[in-house]
Amino acid sequence: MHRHSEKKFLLLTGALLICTVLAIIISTAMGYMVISPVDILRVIGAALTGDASLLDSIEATVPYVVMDVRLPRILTAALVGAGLALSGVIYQGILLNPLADPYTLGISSGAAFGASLALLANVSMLGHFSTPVFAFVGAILTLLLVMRLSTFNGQISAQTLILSGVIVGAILSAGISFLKYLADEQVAIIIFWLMGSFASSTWNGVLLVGASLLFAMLVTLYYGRDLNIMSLGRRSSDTLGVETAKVRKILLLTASLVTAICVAVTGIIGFIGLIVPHLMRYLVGPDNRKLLPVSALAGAILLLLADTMTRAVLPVEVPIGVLTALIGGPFFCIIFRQKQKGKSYE
Amino acid sequence: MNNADLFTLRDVSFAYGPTPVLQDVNLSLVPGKFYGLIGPNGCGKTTFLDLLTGCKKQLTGTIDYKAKELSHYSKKSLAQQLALVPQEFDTGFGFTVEEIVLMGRHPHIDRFSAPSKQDWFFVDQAMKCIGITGLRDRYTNSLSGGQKQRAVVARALAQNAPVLLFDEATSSLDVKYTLQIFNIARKLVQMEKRTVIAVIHNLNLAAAYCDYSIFMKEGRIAQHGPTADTMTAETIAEVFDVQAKVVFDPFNQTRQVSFQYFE
Repeated sequence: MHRHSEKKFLLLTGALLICTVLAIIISTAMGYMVISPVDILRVIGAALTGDASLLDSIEATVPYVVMDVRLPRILTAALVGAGLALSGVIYQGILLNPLADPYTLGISSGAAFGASLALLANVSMLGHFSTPVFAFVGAILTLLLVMRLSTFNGQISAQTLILSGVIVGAILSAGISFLKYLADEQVAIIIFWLMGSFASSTWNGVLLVGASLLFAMLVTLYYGRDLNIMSLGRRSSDTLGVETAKVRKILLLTASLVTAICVAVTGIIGFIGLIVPHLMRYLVGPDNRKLLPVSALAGAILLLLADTMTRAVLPVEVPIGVLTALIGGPFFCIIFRQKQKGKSYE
Repeated sequence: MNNADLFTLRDVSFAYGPTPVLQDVNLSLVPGKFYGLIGPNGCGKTTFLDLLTGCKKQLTGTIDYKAKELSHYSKKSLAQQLALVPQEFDTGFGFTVEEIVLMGRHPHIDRFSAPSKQDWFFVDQAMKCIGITGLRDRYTNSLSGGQKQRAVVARALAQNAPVLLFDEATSSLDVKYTLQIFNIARKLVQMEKRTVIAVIHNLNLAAAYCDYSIFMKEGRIAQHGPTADTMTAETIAEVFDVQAKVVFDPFNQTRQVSFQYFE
């Protein structure tokens, strides 16, 4: 929207795009078995074009490791990072609260509760999509409850929003614990899934997250300018020609859909949706049409780096949700402090 | 109630839950006038403006804008007609003044278009008119209350709508900037035949600028008519419950009001 910062934005987007591609290739190369980037490109090229001659002179196990073990996991990590960052931007933009993200609003817990229920009851009526559908329903119900709790006189109070999210999140955590208790022998499945992991990623998961991310990106870019104006408050945005109530509903549902699918595919991964929009807003300003794409790219890079660290660098594989919380928690404290001091750059 | 009316309100009422806020409002507003909306705190002035802008929907009765039911307009087409200067102004995120003023062009810019030369012209014009061109690149969260309020007025001017609604738009401004904004509003009414509907707490401002005054009390219209006829000691005593004296001020060539609290 600003006249002079277009060039900076394009440069940053280009740089982030290149970094994302590089991060994908480099992390594919890393691991127990080190694979040269050239071989990776040839394997991918062969898979895309069906030209088997590209695989000459490459060890027989390499294509399997790249295509079936590493790439699904790496792409899932990148897409989930992008999805969580994207929903963070949307939640923060609509709820006018820089501390809002899928995790602090309790949405992730709601999705996790729904998904745990599906895992426990071994629901398979919807086939492959049972867990995501349950996660989505859990996320939406949580969103409605949190918003209802923090609404006074028809206005959503930013101060009580996070508090409501924490309250509902705590109740849901207790609910999840109860489900674990009921789960008995199956408890390990739920526990490991909850801590968040990309270890069991599949191409189906990649497609599911990718499709929902693409959908969400198109919807949010479509309403990007409306979202900017909605930051002025309901009365202003209504009288500037924005269908505030409708756009708010559509965007909250979209963000919750992406969150729910990310949670269903990988478990709870916190703080990406909080940290990334903050850093990016610092770089490109508050215009959501710029913030959305750069946040998605930065989220992809950040989560991919974190996952590669736990997969290929650390001596033992720390659950990714634990790692992001350990890094993100202190960051959250800093934002909170700055906000209290009124020195936040927002 | 004829087709030349800008707004026609028939038997309009509104309530928050069981508490009635507006009752039996019947009123016609014509274009090209400066209207003052006057009354004590909580008498329903802001709700009245919200009904006119379509931010809220009346419980009973009908509101027509240009002889067509208000709810039949899309938000966008309404925003091309009506610009609101709200009382409060807050944005959680740091947009620049220029970006905020440009938001006034939102109803005129297609979804996937960039602002045109004309849009930038209106933005520049509005900032120049209010005298905030120097604040163009400042972040709104670094502005004083008064500067923010002037940025919002500039945004409403950039919207270039035939009707402007002010909800105590000058509450944080000092006397000079208050008069500046009211002078701009008066010029828009007199030179360009636009309509201004302003919630005003300062009765002397209302007396000086408004062609027409609407006095509200407890959700009803207590008195309305040309300011010269309605701005009287009796009306003020009835509506505000204070003792008032209205005198002619030769310096301003307008009526001036002075008050005493009823002990």
